[in-house]
Amino acid sequence: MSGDALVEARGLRFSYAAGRPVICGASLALRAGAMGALIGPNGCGKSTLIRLLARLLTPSLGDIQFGGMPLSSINQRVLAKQIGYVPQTTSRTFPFTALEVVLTGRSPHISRFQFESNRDVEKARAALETVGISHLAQRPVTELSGGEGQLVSVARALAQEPICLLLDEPSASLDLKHRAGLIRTLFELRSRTGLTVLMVTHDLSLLDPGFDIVFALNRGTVATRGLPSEVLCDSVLRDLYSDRHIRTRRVEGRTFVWSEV
Amino acid sequence: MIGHNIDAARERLKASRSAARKNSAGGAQPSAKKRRRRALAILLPVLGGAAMLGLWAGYREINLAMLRNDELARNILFRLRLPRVVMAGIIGATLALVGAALQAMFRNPLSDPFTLGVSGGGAFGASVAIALGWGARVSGMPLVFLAAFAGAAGSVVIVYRIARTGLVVLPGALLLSGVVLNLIASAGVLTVQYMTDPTRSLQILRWLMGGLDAIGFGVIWRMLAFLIPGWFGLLALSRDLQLLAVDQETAASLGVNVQRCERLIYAVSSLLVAVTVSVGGAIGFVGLIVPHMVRLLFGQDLRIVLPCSLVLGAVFLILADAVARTVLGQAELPVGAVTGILGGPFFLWLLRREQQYSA
Repeated sequence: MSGDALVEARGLRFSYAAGRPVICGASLALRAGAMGALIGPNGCGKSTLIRLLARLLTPSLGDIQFGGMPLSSINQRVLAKQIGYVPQTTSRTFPFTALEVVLTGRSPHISRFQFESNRDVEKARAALETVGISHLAQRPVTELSGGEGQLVSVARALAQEPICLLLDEPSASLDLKHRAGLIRTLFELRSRTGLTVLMVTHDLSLLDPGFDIVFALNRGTVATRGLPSEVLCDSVLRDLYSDRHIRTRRVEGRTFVWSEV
Repeated sequence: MIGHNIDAARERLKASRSAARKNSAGGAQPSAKKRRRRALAILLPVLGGAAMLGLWAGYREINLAMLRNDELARNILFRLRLPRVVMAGIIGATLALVGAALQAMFRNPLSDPFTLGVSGGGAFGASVAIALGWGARVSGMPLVFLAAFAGAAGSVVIVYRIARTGLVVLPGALLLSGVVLNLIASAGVLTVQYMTDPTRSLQILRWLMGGLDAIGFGVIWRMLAFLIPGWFGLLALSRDLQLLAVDQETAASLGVNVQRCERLIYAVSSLLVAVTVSVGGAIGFVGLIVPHMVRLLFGQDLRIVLPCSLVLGAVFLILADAVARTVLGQAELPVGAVTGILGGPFFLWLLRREQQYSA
């Protein structure tokens, strides 16, 4: 595999319950500044794989390198400044304001007994502005819609200023505008700061053009990887999803994917 | 082009912020640090006032003139009422702080030492010790306290094991296991009471109701030796608790060592609850009501909620104890009865309100 990979996983294996591995032998490499997508059918282990890469779970076998170092050897606070993770769903119990939630993203940069400085608050507000939800800053997160809540999570991860962002279906409950807006934001950040992105998604039509690499996960292992144009084709996708109704078509330079009803 | 967009957004933001600063009424919220300072500046005088009221309240009227020339009045004030007010204050503060921490850690607004069965477990441990007449000490520690600690820690471990599956703490299982533990503990206490002799049985009963009477400063100093490090331990975890209260998985990705943090909170909470239970009995609902009051008054930030719960918890139990001492005239109500009568309906109201969100 390439030597300049920021994230490199080899032969990962993980199971929640003994004897039923969710991830078995998954390998992937993502170079710095790349936009990667992780696709695959429901239950194939996408969320688990991304949690392993974020070190929220520990693989039982295999190893993960981050920036050339074993992921497990990196100090947790140091890692928190480098990897941002956006969970698929976040349940909100307490009515923290959106700004308070986004400010938690600054905590890896602040020592334990400090409060956020004005500069941190500015960064949090800029993150809210970047994802287009400045108007929600003082709203309790318990009152936000699913999509708005997801944007708050993304803003929180952006306020964290990581060099690598791992997102688990960030666009799942977003409307058309914010879905494209989110991808646009990630592209902007990539070209401005060299951000590396790995995103779990079911939105196959958002990948080509733009994404550099697509990993197709099937039954806990990376079955196919390649350029979006290579992975997003009838034969690969029909096989991946075991669905012969899947169609792909290139229109105006974009690849569209749908399943015939 | 793209960078330009973000710059433009920054410019807009700067403009709107300076506008907000000029128009201070509609401006953004002050920083958490300022809000904490402001909240404590309000609460500390309130604590002083509550302490004064606690000293003044009681069957026998005491005024300043009597203090100068009446030996009995001085004795009542300094030997009886003062230690009692201090005791109520430190127990209230402790229970409220632990409640606030448990609510944040479990992301469950109905958690408190009482509803999670921690106090119940502690009470069971302590009543076993009383029934067996364990007045002894193990390396300076009263056995009643050690038994209470074992009971409290045991409950915490059981509740945690049952309610937690993988990364998720199930709120229903959490509260239900707390309820069941309380039932088991009180059945255990009843059994112990039934089997022991009447004097000790009465002793247990009296103590279970939660009372703060007949306590001198010797006990208070010994308690504080455990409580103060515990308070600072929990306050030191404010930031981690803030992240845990928002979301556990995110907290882990932001550098919180979730497991270590949770274990610390369990250990410190059991210790703190055991100390209060072994002295004041199972005083319910302080840990539930006070953090909610603080959040309603001063917002959600745990770095504000924890220290303010500590102070307001003291205020709350000092006042509840003043009510307990005066409401029946010459006789005295156990303070646990007062907090229970106030707290039970509050819990039900909260339960109903929470259903609107989580059902």
